[in-house]
Amino acid sequence: MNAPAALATQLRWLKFDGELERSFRRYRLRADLPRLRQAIAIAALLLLGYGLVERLCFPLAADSILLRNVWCWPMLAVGGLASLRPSAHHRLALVVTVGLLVFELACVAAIAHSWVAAPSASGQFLPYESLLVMVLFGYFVGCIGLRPTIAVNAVVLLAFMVAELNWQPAAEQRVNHIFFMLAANLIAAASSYFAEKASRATFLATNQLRELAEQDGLTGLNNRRSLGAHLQRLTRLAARERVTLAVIMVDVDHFKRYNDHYGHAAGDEVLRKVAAVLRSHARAPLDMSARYGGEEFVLLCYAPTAAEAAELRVRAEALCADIAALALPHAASPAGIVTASVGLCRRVPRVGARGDTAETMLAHADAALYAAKHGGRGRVVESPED
Amino acid sequence: MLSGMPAQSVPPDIDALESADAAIAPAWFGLGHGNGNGDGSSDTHPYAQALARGHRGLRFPPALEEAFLADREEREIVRLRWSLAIALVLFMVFTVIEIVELPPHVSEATITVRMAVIIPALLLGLVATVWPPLRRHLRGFLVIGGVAVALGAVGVIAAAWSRGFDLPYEGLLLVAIFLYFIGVLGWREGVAINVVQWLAYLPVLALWETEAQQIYRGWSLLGASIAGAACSYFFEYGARTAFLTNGLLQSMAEHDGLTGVLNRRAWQKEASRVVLQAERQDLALIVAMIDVDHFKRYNDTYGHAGGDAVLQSVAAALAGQARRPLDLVARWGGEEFVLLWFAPRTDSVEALGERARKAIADLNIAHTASEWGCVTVSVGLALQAPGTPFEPERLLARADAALYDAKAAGRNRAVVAADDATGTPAGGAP
Repeated sequence: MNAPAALATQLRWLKFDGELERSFRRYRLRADLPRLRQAIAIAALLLLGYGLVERLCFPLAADSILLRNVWCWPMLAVGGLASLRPSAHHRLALVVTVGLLVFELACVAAIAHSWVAAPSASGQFLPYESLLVMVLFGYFVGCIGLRPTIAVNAVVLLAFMVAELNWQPAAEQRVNHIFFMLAANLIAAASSYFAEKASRATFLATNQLRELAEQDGLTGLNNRRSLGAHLQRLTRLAARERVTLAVIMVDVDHFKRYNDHYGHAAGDEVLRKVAAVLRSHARAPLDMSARYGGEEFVLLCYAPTAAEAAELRVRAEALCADIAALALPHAASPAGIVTASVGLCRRVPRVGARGDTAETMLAHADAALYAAKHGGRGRVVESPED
Repeated sequence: MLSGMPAQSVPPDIDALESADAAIAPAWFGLGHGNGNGDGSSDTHPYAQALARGHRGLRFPPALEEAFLADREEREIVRLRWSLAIALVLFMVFTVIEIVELPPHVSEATITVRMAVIIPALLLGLVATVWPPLRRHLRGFLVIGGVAVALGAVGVIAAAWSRGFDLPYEGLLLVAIFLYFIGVLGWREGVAINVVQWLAYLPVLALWETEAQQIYRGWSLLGASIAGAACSYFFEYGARTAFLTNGLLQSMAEHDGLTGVLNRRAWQKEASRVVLQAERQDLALIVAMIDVDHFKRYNDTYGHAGGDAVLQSVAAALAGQARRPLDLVARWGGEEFVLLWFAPRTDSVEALGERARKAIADLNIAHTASEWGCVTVSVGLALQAPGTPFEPERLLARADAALYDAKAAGRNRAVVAADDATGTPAGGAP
C-alpha cells in the first residue's frame, strides 16, 4: 500500500494516506503538547511585553491595546486549558487553529483601531511589529500542521492588507509593511515546512524500527523482548483488576529430529506455519502471540470476564489441536506428523512480596509444558493452582 | 546514521523507550521521561544512558555529540541550502527596493554594506554546503556567516539612520528569527548570534532614535529573539530525542534480545557487506557454525532460565573470539551461533575453531547430563581462500556440513570442511 516512492511523495507534500495520517496526527498531538504549552507561555510573555512597552511609549493608544488584550488573553487561557484537559485533546487541533486565528486578527484589529481612533496629530499609532513577531511565532505553536497554519496566516495577511489600504495614515509605509509581512510569512512557512517534514520522517523511521525491534525475523510474531515487556504490563494490570491472565507455552515436539531429517530450511517452514496458527489464536486486543526462542512459542490471553476465563483451557486445547491439524508429515516422530506440547498457566496474578510476576507466570507455564512433554507430548497440561 | 554505535553491544531494554515519545519534550513541561523502568534493568547502551540522563542542556557526551552533529548535518543540508537561497533572494529584493525608493546618498551606503558583507556571507555559506574542502568546516563557516549577516543587517540600518533616513528596521526581526531555523546550525549558535546582533543594535538605537522608539524597537528585537529561541530549543530537543530513540530501536532491531549478539536478519545484511569487501580485496574469510552440545538436555535438567544464562555466557565468550572491526558474531537461532572472521591472521583454520571450542569449555559451566560434565560446543568451519571463486552461500553450507560432522564424530570438537566442493549442502537438505 505504501511503497517507498509513494511515501517519499507523501512526505514531500506533508500528507500521508488514510490510517497512517491519522496515526501521525495522534503522535504529533502527544509529542507537541509540551511545545504548545511553552508556546502559550511565550505568547503570554510577548503579549505582556508589547502591552507594557506600548503603554509606556504610546500612552494615547491605550484603548487599542485594551482591545487586543480583551481578545488575546482569553484565547491563551482557552488554549492552555484545552492542552491540560485530556478529554479536550481530540478537539485540540481545532481549538489551536481557531485560537491562533482570533489571536492574530485581534493584533490586526488593535493596529487598525489605533490608526482610526488615535488623534493623528499625536502620531501615537500602534506599530505593526507586534503583529509581525506574532505571525512569525504563530507558525511554531505545535499540534497543528503547516496547512492550517498557512490558511490562518493567509486570512490574517488579507485582513492586514485591507486595514493598510483603508486606514493607514502614512501611505508611504504601506509597501514596506506588506512586503515585510510577506517576507515573514515566507521565511516562517519555509522553516515550518522543513520542521514538519523532519517530524514526519522521524515518525516513519520510529514506526519501522519499532516494528523491526519487536518482531521475530523468521516468523513475524513478537519476539521475546516485546513478549517480556507486554507480559509485565499484563501481569500488573490483571493483578490490579483481579482478572484472569493465561500464559500458554507451546513447544514443537521432536523438532531437533525434524531438522536433522528434513533440513533447516524445512524446519524454518514448520516454525512459520506453527507461528501462523498462534497468530490466529491471539484474538483480543491485549492477547499476544510471540516466539519465545528456538521452537518455543508463547500465547498470552487476557480474559476479563468469567466466561472467557473458563474458556482458557478449551482455547489451549484448540491451539494444540490446530497445530496437529496442519498435518505436516514428520517421519522421525512417533506421531508421524508435527505435534506440539502445551503448558498452560492461568490465574489471577497475586500481589504482594511473594506475588506473581512475569517471570513466575512463565515459570509455571514452563513447568506445565515440561509435564506435557513427559506425559507423552502432543497434549495440554495445566499448571496446578497452588 | 549511527556512526557512534559500537559494533556489538548489550541490547537495550524496550522499557527504556516506553516514554520516549513523550520525551520529545523536556521533562519540566509535565510529560517527564525518567527512565521509566522500575525493574532497574542494567541498561549499558550509551544511547539508553543518554536518554535516561536527559539532555535539557542540549549536549551529549563527546562521542555521541559528534555522531549527532554529523547525523543532523546530513539530514538538514537540503534545508540549509533552501534557507540560504531564500535569504539571498530576499536580500536581492531589498536591494532593488532600496535602489528605487531611497535617496542616492543613502542607498549608496546601504547597498555597499549589502554587497560587501551580507551577500558574500550568504554566498560563502551556500558554497560551503556543496564544496567538500569548505564542507568539512560547515558549522564554523555558518557561525561566521551568521555573525556577518546579523552585523551587516545592523550596519545597513546604521548607514541609513546616520544619513537621516528612517529605514525600516524590521529586517532585523526577520534575520533574528531566520538564524534559528536555517538548519545545521544549533540552538546555542543561534542564541549567540542573536545576542551579538542585539548588542550591536543597542548603540545604533541610542545614537539615532528617540527615547520612545529606543524602548519599543529594542524590546521588539529582543521579543522576537526570545520567541525564536524558545521554538528553536524545542526543535533541537526533539531532534536529539529522536536521534537517541531511533538509534536504540535500530540497535534492538539488529541484536538478539537474549544474548546481545547480532540477530540473523542483521547477520545477513552485515555478512554480505563483509563478503563483498573480502572479494574486492581478495582476502580470506572463515565462517564457523557453532552449536551448544546437548542443550535440550541442559534445559530439561536446569530449566529454561538456566539455559538462557548458558546462551548468554556462550555468546559473550564467542564475541571475545571475533572482535576485530569486520568480524561478526550472530545468533543463528536456538542454540546455534555463527562467526565470521575477516582476513584472519592465522592460516590454520583448525586452530581458530579449536580456540573457539576451548573458550566455551573453559567457561566450565556444569552440565551433568553431558558426557563431558560441562557445557561444550561443536564447531564446523569453512575457509574461503583468497584467489578462489567466491560463493558465500556455499561457505555457510560447508560450515554447516562440517558442524554436522563434528556432532557425528562425538561433539565437543572443531571440524574443518573439506576444501573441495564435494561436501553436502546445509543440514543435508533434500
